[in-house]
Amino acid sequence: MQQLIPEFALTKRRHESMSRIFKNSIAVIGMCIILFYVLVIVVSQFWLPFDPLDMDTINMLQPPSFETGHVLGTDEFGRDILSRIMKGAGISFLISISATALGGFIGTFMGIWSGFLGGAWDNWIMRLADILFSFPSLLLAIFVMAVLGEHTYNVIIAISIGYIPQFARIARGSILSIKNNEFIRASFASGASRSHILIHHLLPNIIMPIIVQSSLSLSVAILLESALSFLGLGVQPPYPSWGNMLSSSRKVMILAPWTAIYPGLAIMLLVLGFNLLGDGLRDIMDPRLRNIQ
Amino acid sequence: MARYIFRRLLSLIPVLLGVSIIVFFLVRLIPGSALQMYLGTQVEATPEQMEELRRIFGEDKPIPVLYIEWLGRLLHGDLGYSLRTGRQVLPDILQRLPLSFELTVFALFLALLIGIPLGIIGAVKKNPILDIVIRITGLLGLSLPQFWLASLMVIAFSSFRGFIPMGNYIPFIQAPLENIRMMLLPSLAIGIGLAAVIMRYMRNSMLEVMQMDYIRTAQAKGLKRKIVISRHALKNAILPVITIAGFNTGYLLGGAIVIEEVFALPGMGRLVLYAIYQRDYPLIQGIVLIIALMFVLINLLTDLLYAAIDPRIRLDQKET
Amino acid sequence: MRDASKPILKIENLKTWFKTNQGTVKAVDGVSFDVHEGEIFGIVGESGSGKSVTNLSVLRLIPVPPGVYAEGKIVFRGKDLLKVSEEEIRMVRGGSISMIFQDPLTSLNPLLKISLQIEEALQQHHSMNKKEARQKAIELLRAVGIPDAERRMNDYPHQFSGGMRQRVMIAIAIGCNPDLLIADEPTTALDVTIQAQILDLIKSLSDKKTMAVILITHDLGVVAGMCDTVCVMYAGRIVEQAPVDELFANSLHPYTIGLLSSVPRIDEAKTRLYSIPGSPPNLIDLSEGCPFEPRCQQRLPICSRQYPEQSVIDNSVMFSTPFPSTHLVRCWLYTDHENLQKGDNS
Repeated sequence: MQQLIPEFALTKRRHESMSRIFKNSIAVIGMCIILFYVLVIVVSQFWLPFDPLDMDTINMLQPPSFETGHVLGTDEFGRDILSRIMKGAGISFLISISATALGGFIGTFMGIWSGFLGGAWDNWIMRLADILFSFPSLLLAIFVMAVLGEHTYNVIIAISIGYIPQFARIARGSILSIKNNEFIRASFASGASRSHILIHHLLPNIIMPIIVQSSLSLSVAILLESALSFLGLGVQPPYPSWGNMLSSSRKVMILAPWTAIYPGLAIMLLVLGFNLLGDGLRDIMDPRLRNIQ
Repeated sequence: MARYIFRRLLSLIPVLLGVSIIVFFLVRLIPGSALQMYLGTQVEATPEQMEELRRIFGEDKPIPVLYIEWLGRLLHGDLGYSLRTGRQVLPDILQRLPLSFELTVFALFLALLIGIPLGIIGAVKKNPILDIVIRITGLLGLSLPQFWLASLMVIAFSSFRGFIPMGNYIPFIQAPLENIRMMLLPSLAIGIGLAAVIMRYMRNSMLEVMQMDYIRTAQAKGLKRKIVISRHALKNAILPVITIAGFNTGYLLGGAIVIEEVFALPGMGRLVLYAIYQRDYPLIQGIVLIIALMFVLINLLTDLLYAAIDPRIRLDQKET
Repeated sequence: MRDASKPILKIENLKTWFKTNQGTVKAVDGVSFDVHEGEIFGIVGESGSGKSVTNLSVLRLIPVPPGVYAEGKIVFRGKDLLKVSEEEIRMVRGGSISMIFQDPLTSLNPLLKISLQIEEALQQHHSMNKKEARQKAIELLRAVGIPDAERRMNDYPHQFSGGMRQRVMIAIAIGCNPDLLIADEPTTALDVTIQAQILDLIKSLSDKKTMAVILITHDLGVVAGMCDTVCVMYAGRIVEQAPVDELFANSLHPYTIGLLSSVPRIDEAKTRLYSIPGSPPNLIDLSEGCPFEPRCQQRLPICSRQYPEQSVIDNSVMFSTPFPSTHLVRCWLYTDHENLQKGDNS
């Protein structure tokens, strides 16, 4: 369709269309959700409704009620669910961000060099990425946890390894798409050094795709960490993680569904937040935001 | 096409080798794991005894040699012996394979069944509200933790015993209807996320394809809209979806592990978890290898399917 | 036998606009012309002049939001194509009026064999079974000059070269013996050497089958060799129209003159190539006056205030052509045409 109305036939006035606002608001809503969680985490450092580790077996499996103060109920050990969810937020967040950052940096680094250098380097690095890619992410994480042992910091490593190929691919793709651009060649021809070109021309182009991928990876990281904790391979009880809360609730969840519903809801909402942010950012990045209704 | 298949098979070899190397070396990293394989988990030994034992078992050879030997055994079907049961690892894995395989395939099938039509409808009907609904539903599906959904299913369906397998598995061959009834919820739990992804990709792909020149040509021929969509647009639109579905099967395989745990299904996923809890390294090694192999094969199939549809991939370009 | 005086297509004051977030783009804003049986009618203009949109409107292929057929009539066989039902326009498309497009690579479905792409057009308009359709398709491929036609039927578009692909497009288009073929820049994406072949093919098909052709192009050389009548479009309107020889010998509108001067000529020793200064106008904010005025070397005060009326210059005595011809121009310079003599561009 665009070919029928060439560029110069349209004015360059800024004009917000309904869909553009919508696309922006997706990212905004995502951001709000994430900020809400961050707020909860910050608050939880100073104050929690109850001690998340405090077992009060007399009050076990209380349904949610405002009178008892256990707004989301108690679990099978009498511990307050809301407090545990709040505490678990911090741990999950920390693990996800660390894992994404670690995997992201290594992967991006590999991808940039792979794309930039080309040739045999490119081949081998991408081979390695392909091999890593052959493992389903959860399987790889489980396997690494089996090798390293069940400590929280190992979860970070386990999750981050799976991200390396993804980030490498994206970084490499960005580099390759620009590498052969005319102005890069012109820069070389006029004597610019490799690192200069890398920093000034190539890196700015990578930023956006990497940010989008990071947001999406963060959402997956939360899911992976919860899955690992659920399987007993992540955060170990009694420390709360949404995943292990769900795991321990399995025995009682038919009688006390709130023990399963709220932790899972917490997971879903945060993951949704990251997905919305990543999706919204990706839309904004899309050059096909032509203003044709 | 045959040449293409051959080439793809050839390119699998380095990948499979790489996978085996990673699995072998990672397990080796676990301290004491090598000797444990011979002695079992109950035995403790002093460092001197360990040295001696290493020599006796041939473990003092350089690692690459050990790898080659291991690979050799592998290719003969010997995946080692379980530390717990002492039996060969491979037959036990293979016995549980059908269940996990069925879960994964059924989940994929459901994901395609739900995702593709919804995606097409979303693209063809030009309704902005429908657009937003599809988008949000898609994102929600992506955000749902599989094990949470499974737990919710258990809660919700606790009165309908027939749908919650809980430890039972009736093979398809034995009783197809019961099998499907039991597998439906678990597979759905695994596949919903992928259904959301597929729905969004299908919709975007259709929208893009509908803008293409060859659609305009098809209209200029006077073809009915239904034919334009089904014969011209769909085939082109489904290509990227095939690729996406293919490499997201990894997500399904991972999900199967968790779901088997939730529903206590005796599949490979549950087995690998037990192996990990009990430090049964040969078993862990074997299952990880097999699952990775499955994934690689699925990706191969995906590529072949793609090539079957897209002649540009499988035929050489001839300029006349 | 061809009846040169009979118009098969009459376009009357066609206005096709696009509603965008930045305003209404008046891509075609009052275009009228007739095409006669067997005539090769050329439409010349830059990108954005509205030539493609005009022709897509004939077959109603403009996507309706955001497009809108604001005004005008397109009369073919006694019916207004803009108003007929969906069924009827589908019968016309590919049946009595066919269209070929600029880029044959993207215009053919890469996943389908060309045999299917030809046969489906045939089977849509004639009741043929598979065998008959296949036979006819092979004949068509031969008729457009594709060697080894029977074997090539099973090939896919990417297995043909650019020129061959365009021939395939033509084969699809002429399959049902249309009265009119619309060719939208059919040679722009091809090598120069191939261009001539394709144009020859189109011309010979036109002669053999008494098929009228609307040929859209930005290349004046193409026009000179092929067309009977030419019109020049600018900013969504026709600024000049004449039989081809007349247009070249006696161009009147400053834009036409500019276009002709831009073509490098071997027999002139020039140090600089001429190009029309300025750039084409924004189709949303069109002024009340003549759209070419900002770039015109011969503008008059009235040009910026009012859109020129159409003047008819009758030079039929000078150039005889089998098709009804008049020389039309929309320019204030010629409104008082009684004072105009041939060759005098005052």
